[in-house]
Amino acid sequence: MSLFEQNFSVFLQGFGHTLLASIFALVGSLILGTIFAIMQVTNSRTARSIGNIYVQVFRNIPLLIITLFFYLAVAKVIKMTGFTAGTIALTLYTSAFIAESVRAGILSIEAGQMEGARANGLTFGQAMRVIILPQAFKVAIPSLGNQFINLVKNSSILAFVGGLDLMYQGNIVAANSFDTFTTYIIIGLFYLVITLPLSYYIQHLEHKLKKNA
Amino acid sequence: MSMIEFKDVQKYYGDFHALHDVNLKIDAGETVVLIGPSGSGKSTLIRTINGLEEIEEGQLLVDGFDLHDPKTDINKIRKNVGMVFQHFNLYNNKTVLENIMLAPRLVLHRDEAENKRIAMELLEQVGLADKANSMPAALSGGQKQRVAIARSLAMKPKALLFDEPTSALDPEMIGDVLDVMRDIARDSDMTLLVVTHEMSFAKAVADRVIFMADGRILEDSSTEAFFENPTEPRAKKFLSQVEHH
Amino acid sequence: MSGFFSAFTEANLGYLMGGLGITVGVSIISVVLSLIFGSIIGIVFFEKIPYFSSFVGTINNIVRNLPLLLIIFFTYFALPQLGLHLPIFWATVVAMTVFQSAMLAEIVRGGLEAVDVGQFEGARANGLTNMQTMWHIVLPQAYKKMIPPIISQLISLVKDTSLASGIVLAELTYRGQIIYAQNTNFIVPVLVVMTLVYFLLNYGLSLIAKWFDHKLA
Repeated sequence: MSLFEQNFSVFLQGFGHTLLASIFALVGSLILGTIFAIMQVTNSRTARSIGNIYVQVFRNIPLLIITLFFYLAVAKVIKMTGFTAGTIALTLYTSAFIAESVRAGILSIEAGQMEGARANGLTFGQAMRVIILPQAFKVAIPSLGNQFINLVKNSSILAFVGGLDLMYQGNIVAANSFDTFTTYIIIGLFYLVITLPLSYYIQHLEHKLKKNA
Repeated sequence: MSMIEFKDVQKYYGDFHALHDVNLKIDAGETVVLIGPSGSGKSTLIRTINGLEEIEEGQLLVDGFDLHDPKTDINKIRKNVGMVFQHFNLYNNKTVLENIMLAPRLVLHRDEAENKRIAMELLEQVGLADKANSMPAALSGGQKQRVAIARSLAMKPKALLFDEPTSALDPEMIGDVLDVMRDIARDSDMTLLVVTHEMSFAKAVADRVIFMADGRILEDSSTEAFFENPTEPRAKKFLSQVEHH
Repeated sequence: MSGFFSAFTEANLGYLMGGLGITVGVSIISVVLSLIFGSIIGIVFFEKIPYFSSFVGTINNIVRNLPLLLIIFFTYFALPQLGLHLPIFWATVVAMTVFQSAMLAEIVRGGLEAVDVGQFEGARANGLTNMQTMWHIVLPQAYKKMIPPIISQLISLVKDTSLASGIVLAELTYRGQIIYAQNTNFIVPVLVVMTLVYFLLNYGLSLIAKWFDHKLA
C-alpha cells in the first residue's frame, strides 16, 4: 500500500487527465458523430459520401496512427501538447463509432415518423431535431454507453505522446519504483472505477429494453 | 401395461398452479386426445412426459421410468418418446433428410445406409420424398410439420406426443397433416397422445378423450361417451363453443 | 513530392511490409485462440452454472473494462515479476487473446441466446444429449449469425496490434516509427502509407463482414 500512498498525487493527476480527456472527447465525438450520422441518412449523395468516407476511414485505422499524426505532423504547424493531440485524435476516432451507433438508432425509427413530420409541415432539420433524434438517441443509449467505455479505455493512448494520463503516470511510477506489478494493478483499479459501474449500468439498461420489447 | 402414468402430480410456475392433482393412466397402444380451453394445462401436461417441464410433486412413470427421480436418465426416455411441436422446431441448419437422420445416427448409432433407407421411406410415407434435400426454410408450414412427424418416427418410439400440431398451420394445410396422423394411429401400435382442437379428428381416431381446465383433469371418458354425453358442464360448454366454429 | 517518395526506398518498404507480416500474424493467431477461449467462456455464461458462471462473468467484465494497452504492458512488464517471462511476440499474443476472449465471450453468449428455444426443445425431444444439441444444432446456427461481429473483432485486433509498438514489438507501426526516426521529413509520408495499409486491410475485412451480413439477412 505504501506505493499507492507515496505516489497518490501522481495517480490522482493521471486520473484527472484521463477523466478530462474522456469528457472532452465524449462531448466532441457526440457532436461530430451525430453530424456524420445525419449526413449518412440525408438525400444528398455528396453528404452521404462524405459521411461514409469519414466513418470508414476513422473506423479502419489504428487510433495510435491518428494520435501520432496530430502529435508529430499537425503539431509542427499548430503548436499543441501531447494531451491536446491525443484528445483530438480520440475525438475523431470515437466520433466514427458514435456516428454508426446514432445512424443505427435513426434507421431503427420507423419511416412513418419522418413522413408524418414532413407531411405535417416540418422541415427535414426540424423533424430530425424534434422527432427523430430524441427517439434515436433513446434506442442508441446502450451502444453509446459502450462507446464511452471504449473511449475511456482508449484514452490510454495518451501515454504514447506524453499525455500525462493514468497510463503515462503509471509507466513512470512503475519505472521508478520497479514494482511494475503493483503499479499496474492500481492503474487498472483506477480505470475500473470509471468503466465497471458504467458497464453494469448498461447491462441493466439492455436487460430492461429487452424486457420491454 | 401402462405406458404413461401420472400419480397425484403437481406442477407450479411460481404461484401459478399449472397441474393440479393429475392422475392419468395411458396404456401402451392407446390413442388419447387431450382437449381443453387455452391455459388449461394441456401443453404443460404433455411436455412433462418427456421432461421438457419438470414436475414438483407426485410420480410420473413413463415406460417404467420415474421422471421425478433425479437418478432417471431423461435421455433414455426421450429415445423412446417422440414429440411433435406446434411450431415444428425443425433444425434450421440441416436439410430435410439430415433432420430425420441426425438423432438415429447420434443416439441410436444406426448404420448409415439403413438410416438413409428408413428416412427416405418415412419421407415417402408423409408424401415429401421430393423435398429430401431442401432446407426447412423452403417448406410450407404443413410440409414442415410432416417432416417433423417423420423425424420423430425415425427414432421408432414407443410413444408419440403431439402438442397442438395443426394450430400454427394455414387451414388448407391442416388436412394433409391430420391424414398422416390418422394413418399412424391406424397402422402402428405406438401410444399416441394428442393435444388438439380438431374435434373431427378426435372423434375419428381417439380411443379416449381427456378434458382439462385450470390445470385439472375434469373428464376422462371413451370417445363415444364424451362426444355424445359429456358429464362435466365445462366440457359441454367447451364442446358447444368449438363445434360452432 | 519527390521528397514524399524518397522515404520509400526498397529497403524501407521491405522493412515496413515485414512489419505488416507480424501485424497479420499476431492478429490471426490471437483471433483463433480467442475464438476458442471466448466460445468456452460464452457457453459457460449461457449455461448459467450456479456460482461458476457469475464468477467467470465478473472476471470477464473486469478484463473487458480495462484498457488493452494496460493488459499488454502488464503481460510484458509485470508478469516477469512473478517469474513469467514471455518473449515480446508471445506476450502480445497472450494479452490480445485475454482481451479479445472477453469480448468474444459476450458475442458468443448473444449468439446462443438468439437461437430459437424451439431448436433446443426439438433436439432434446428427439433424444439428443445437451452436448449433441449444442454441437450439432445450436452452435452452427449461432456461429453463422456471429460471423459479422467476429470479423469486427478481427478488425479491432489488427488495429490494436499497433499498441504493441509500446513494448517494442516490430510490427507495422513500430517499424514506421523506426523509419521516420532516421529522418523527420519522412514522418508524414510514412504515416500516410501506414494509414493506407491499415485502411485497405481493415476495409477489406469490413466488406467481407458486410457481404456475410447481406447473405444472412
